Amino acid sequence: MVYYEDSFVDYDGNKVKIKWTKELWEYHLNKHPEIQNFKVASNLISEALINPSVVLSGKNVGKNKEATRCYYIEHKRDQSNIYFTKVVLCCSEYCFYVKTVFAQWQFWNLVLQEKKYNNFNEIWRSSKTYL
Amino acid sequence: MEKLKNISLNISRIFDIAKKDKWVVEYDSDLDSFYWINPKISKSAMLKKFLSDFSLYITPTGKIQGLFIEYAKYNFIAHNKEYEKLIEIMEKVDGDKYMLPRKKEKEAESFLRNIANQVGNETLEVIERGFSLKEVVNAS
Repeated sequence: MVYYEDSFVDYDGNKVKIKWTKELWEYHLNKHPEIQNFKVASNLISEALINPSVVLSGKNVGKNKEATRCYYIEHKRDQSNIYFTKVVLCCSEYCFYVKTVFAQWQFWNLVLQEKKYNNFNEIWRSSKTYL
Repeated sequence: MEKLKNISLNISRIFDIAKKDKWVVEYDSDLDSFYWINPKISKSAMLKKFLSDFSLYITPTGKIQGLFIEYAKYNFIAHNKEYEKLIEIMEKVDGDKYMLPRKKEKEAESFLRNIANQVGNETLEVIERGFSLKEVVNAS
């Protein structure tokens, strides 16, 4: 039974949906309390999809090895850290689905996780980001 | 410029904190995400990453509430094979979600202690390279 459902369109015109059960919503909310509620979660997702700082596309290295996109949006930075939201999508021919969304502070000198793998390519980068 | 607060992090005590607060071990095979976390993360806790593979849940008062590894099995463990068994002893609970059952906690203890030590050692390396954790702890 779908508990949290919303739809979006990303910066490139791709349709994106989120359809999470109550269990899945609670699983994510417990691990990423910054998503707070449906409205905040949808805002975080929407911001990252519409106005991403970096987008990486590739094959998930996990069990399912499905086509994946990771959208990062930089919100703010200080002398040594960057605060961003990350949205991970699985991509089918017809629609993209949100698998997770979370926010994080990260040291500037650390590379984005996907850049450690050959199976991800950067397909979008904002000229303004330090990510 | 706003003055940064002196907040103690207790990185060297992660294993003891985890035991005291009864952290749980979870693995999401769909996202390849590993969590060793307080079962109830505070709303004020934020994910902060200053190490290559580990992100920590840290509250504004510096309390560590968990550890998160992205691309856990297919990157972190692939390069740290000594932890392979930790994923193997976890049990499937729902779809792609795995948990460490109570009966396997003793078996997992040495792996978790080693992860905690690795976090401590890598943190020391970061500090030795001249980075300050003060900003990351204060970041909000």
